[in-house]
Amino acid sequence: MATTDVHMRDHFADLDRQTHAAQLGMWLVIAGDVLLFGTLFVLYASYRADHAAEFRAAAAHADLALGTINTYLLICSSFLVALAVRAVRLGDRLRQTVALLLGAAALGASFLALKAIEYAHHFAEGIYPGKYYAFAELPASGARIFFTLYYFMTGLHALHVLGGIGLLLWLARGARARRYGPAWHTPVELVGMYWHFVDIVWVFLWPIFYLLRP
Amino acid sequence: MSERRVSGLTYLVVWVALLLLTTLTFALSYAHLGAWAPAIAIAIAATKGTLIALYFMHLVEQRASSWLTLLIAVILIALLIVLAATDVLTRAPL
Repeated sequence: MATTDVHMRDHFADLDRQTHAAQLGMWLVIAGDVLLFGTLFVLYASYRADHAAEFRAAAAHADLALGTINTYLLICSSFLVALAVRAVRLGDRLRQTVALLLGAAALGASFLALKAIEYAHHFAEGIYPGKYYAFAELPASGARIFFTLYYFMTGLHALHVLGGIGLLLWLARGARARRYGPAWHTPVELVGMYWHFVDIVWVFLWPIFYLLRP
Repeated sequence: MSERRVSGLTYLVVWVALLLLTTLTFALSYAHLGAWAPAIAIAIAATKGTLIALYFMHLVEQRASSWLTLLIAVILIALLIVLAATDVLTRAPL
């Protein structure tokens, strides 16, 4: 019973409770982030209700192929992270864990690269956010609002992806240093939760910005 | 908590389901579903989000306090989105 685990803080009765507290803390972080993205979805829904046709015309101009590939990329990276957590829990799978974490980070980086290409295409056409919007083909104010929301919401999401890649690389380093094992792997669990949450946000961004048909 | 653990096979099944649902969403976007299209797309996205939260984020393994925290955040946001959109949609022309 009285196992002295180096990772356990003395204000917790046992490691199980400490783990539960850590998970609950991460869920609170995620719930807060849900509210941040949620308010942006509220803005989107309100403007879309007001400019339905212009939103559809603008979405038809989004890069459907890149947006869809990116959806698959993030889902696959989430799967790799889930497998990495499994590998750490099972133990004795050091190389597999590191490979899975690096693979997930690489998919995240590919996501950002495609996103950058997409932004570059839009910029070349004069599609900028806010008052800098200068796209001759869709001059309506609804299209300007659509693309401003697009930049803000996908940009905020991209920052989350960037942060997630950093966290995955940090985990890979820790895994290589044999810091995690079946007895203790809270950082792997929590970063995994964060990464899956970032995936979920994209699962909702994809249909609202890419899949509207005129 | 740690007694019930998501198995490797479950991860695989969830992953395949997510890929299929993504493909379904993509195909349906060409199906001319009219006014129902956004609702169906969001419903599928919600299904995918639920699968990810339950199995990849291990909600099925955790205590009620974990999923209650998330559930309340999601319910409040859904309420906010619906009420705000209802306001805009039902406004009398100025």
